[in-house]
Amino acid sequence: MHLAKILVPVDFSGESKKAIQYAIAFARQFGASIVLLHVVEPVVYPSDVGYGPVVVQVPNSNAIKRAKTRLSALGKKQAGEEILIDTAVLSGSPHVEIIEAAKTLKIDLIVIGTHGYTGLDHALMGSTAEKVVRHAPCPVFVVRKKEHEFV
Amino acid sequence: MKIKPTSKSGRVMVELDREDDKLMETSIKDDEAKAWPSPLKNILVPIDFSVSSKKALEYAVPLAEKLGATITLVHVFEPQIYPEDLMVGTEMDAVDVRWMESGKDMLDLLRQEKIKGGINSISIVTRGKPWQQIIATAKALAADLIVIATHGYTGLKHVFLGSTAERVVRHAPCPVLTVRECESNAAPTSKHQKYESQTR
Repeated sequence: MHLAKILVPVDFSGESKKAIQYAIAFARQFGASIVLLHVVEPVVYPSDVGYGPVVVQVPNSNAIKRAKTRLSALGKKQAGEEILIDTAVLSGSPHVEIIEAAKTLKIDLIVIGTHGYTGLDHALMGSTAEKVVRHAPCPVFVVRKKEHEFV
Repeated sequence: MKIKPTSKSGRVMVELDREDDKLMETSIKDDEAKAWPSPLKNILVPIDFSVSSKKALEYAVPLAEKLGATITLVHVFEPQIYPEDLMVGTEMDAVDVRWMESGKDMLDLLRQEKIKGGINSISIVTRGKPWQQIIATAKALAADLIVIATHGYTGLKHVFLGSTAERVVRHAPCPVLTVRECESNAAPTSKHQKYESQTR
């Protein structure tokens, strides 16, 4: 079983931090490295009326900068002794960028939480997680908020 | 903890309190176990005997080996419901029982074939709607992880996630590892292409 690279999509929610914990445990057990990925959605400007229903999407550079610092801080905090943690911030549609990154980086395992920031409790599963599971090029480890606790 | 001298030279007496017992018990393995938000000791693998479900098992085995987990194979037998007009007799119940027994035999064979010695495993055959039975079994066994293939026997290729796998991922009481039949090593599409098509 070849488990060398683990991708953890992070939106800084509690669930994504739990996903990081699982990824670290996997990495420790299997000697893998981790990539933390945060995706910033671009800012959508409605264009001039004259052009019709065309929107301009611009990468949100402020959010990207903030995310980069936050993510590397998170990576350093969680990084243990031997585990290599890389961070990346991309701009675009979250599930698309996650899947593209998994293909580009030849990821062996994606660890993702069912819910993220929006955390609609009545939804059994968030839209990003579902789309990632659907289209991922590799196995996906889906972590949920409340697992059965026997403690 | 108290350290007292003894009459013998080079030797001391160490008195342990109740709390110190825990100190003695902790080993490296316990530390490793604590690293997991929830230890993965009980792995459930739904099997429909398709190639992809066997692949899911191939993922579960090295995991179980590394994590010291047990593997439970579960096969769900979906009984045929015959309309009353067809006058199918009660013998069908006996046939169902036979199917389930042979299902258990096939699971046992699969266990022998794929699961190395040293890993505990059990076979379970249940009856009903696959995704419901898988979830019920996971709850009943307090499974820590479900390893399931994205597609099973029907394997509709244009569907990205089979209906059973989708429902299991949605409703599972524990983490789920989805295993794809053929990991697509398709080259990533060009980012420019995507943005271009969005702005057009």
